[in-house]
Amino acid sequence: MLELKNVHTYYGNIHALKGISLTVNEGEIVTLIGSNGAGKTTTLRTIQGLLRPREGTILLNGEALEKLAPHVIVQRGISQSPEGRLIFSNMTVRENLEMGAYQRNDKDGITRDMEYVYTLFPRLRERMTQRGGTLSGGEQQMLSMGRALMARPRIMLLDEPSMGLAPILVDQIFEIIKTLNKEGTTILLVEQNARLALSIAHRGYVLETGEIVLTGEGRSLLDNPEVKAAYLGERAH
Amino acid sequence: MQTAANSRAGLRQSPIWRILLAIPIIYVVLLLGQPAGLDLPKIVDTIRNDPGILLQQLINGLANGAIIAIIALGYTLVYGIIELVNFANSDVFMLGTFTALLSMSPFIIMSENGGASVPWWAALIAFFPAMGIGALLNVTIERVAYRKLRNAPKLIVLISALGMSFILQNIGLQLGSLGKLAQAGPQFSIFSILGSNNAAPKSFPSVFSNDNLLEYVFPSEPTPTPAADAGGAAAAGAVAGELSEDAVMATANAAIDATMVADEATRAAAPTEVVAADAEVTPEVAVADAEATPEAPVADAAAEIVATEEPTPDIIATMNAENGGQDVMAEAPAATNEAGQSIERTKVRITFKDLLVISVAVVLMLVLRWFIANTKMGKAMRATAQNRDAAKIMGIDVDRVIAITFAIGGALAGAAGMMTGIYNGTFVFTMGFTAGLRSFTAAVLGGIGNITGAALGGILIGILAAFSDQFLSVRWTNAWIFLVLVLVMLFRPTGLLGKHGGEKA
Repeated sequence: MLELKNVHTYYGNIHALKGISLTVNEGEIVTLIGSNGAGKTTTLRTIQGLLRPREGTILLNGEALEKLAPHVIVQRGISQSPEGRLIFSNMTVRENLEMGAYQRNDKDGITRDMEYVYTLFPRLRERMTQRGGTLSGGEQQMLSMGRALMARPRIMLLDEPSMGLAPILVDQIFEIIKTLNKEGTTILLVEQNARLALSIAHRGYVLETGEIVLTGEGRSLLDNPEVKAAYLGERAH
Repeated sequence: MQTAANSRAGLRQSPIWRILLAIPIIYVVLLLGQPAGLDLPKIVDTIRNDPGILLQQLINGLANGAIIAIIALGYTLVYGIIELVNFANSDVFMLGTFTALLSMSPFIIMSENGGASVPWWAALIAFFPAMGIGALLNVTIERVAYRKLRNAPKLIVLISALGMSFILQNIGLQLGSLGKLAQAGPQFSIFSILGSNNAAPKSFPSVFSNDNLLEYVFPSEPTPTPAADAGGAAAAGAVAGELSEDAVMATANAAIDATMVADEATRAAAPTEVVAADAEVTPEVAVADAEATPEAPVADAAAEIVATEEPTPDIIATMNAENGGQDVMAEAPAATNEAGQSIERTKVRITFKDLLVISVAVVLMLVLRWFIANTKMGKAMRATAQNRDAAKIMGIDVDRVIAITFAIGGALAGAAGMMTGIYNGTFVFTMGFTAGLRSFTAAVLGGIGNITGAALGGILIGILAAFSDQFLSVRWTNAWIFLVLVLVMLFRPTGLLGKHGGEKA
């Protein structure tokens, strides 16, 4: 469904992605793990069109995305819960969700999807008229994911949904990711919490300083000694 | 780092800091304020002798402030969304006046003595091209001068903005020379309005009368007009007599009003007298080199011009009314404010123009607020203002949103240009500079990025300017405005209505 072929991205002169190739198939949860600065977020930003790859191509169902503007890429069916959540803090929860559906014009569909988001995250319904900035970290994460869902994406990119959240909330969020996937949303998940990410992912990629060094099924990566040493040992909790 | 910023902000908000800061500031203002016209006993005296003038200046300030407020909306919108001070905004305002004038040109009615007027419906129609061209200009500016620089350092974009401002000023200068075409043959009325001097202030055809609406509500008994004595008129301003219907207290931008008065005086065919009352007897004539510093006489001329319905056309002082007002501008006598004392009590005037300008400003602000709060595009603007990347991820076409923001700002500036033409009756290609300074100050004063704040700031600056022109010193008005800005920034760095935490739009 989504395919990156030899993607190189730069920040000025810094070579951030050094030829990334990865594939996400329809219905999968694919996770991208790696330490800080490995290029996980850069990969997601490149897919979304916020960064332009200098080389390589990004295909969504065969259509090249790398030259399209971000809003067109959203139209094509890629939405994202970005790093740091980027909630519109001056807007109400409802307005935030409306923004997620910006590219859509089907009023009834939007109302239905908003209802769906509210059933998925009942807390958001309670906070409907509250400003985004007043929400707790966990609620903001829910809002960020709900907002991404409002675009009715074919593939959803999640950037560090566990960041800064209490373990119980993290479990809750990951349950919802699994539910979403079961209901048909393809997911590309970026995580530092490798154990958790690999435990729900069908497949995983390990990213190290801009290069993919390992790939495999979620379970098999969990058992991989290199992964264990590098990403699981230090993150045990 | 955040805690450091917080503790600094905390100190700034603590009452001790405020008091410590306020004492030396008050002292310095009292000490240095004198040459800038701060003479409290005199001011108190003026107001006691003539309380009406306070009300009159409040009205003038409100009307001029309304125009400033509309331009400030454009500044604040654009700043809110891309954190850029679009210096060209106020030159779009200036070109808005030109556009309005040019688009009204088929409907201009010239009277025998050179005065021009247009019917009200023509002015109404002219609002549309003024706003449309304003929007188009501003969008073009964004496209040409800012879009490529969106990720460049702020300073570079700022320079680009200044450059656009100069380009637009020069377009205004060139438009001002259209009048020269008359020498080649065709005699359009627009040519005679524009005149042959491209840099000179142009008069705007009068649209609405200067009738005092209060006269209709509270009709006053007719008073005999005292004869004007050329010798004593200036010394004893009282000679100017009862301020009759056509009398205008030219204060806010005295020279500008002077043109209007002179203009109307000549147009009205009824022999009219223009008195430049100057308590110091010797009017300090600011003969302007219009080419070099066309702005100078505007700033300098603090003339108290009183037009009375005197049956003998007798022009005192250096008022050259025959020239349709243009040269009046250049040679307006600078009279000091003391004249205000000797003239009899001000009869408060509210004209239709005052009401028009203020109500148009209020309506525009309310419509804009509604648009930003409730429409999809308005929400997209807020989203883009808060976080451009997040907006992109939502599927918002940020370039389009920014272009529309510029279009709205330009349309507002165009509307303000039209209104300044109607209200002040004159304009000049450099007026964008002063207007820009004041309206940007207004936007910062109210809390940049905040729409209500910009409107409030505009009104406050307008009133402050009117009071300063009347009670302090015209020459120092801009200084007083900036003093207030500095004070607000010291005590409330986010502006009057700005909130902490960078709330925008």
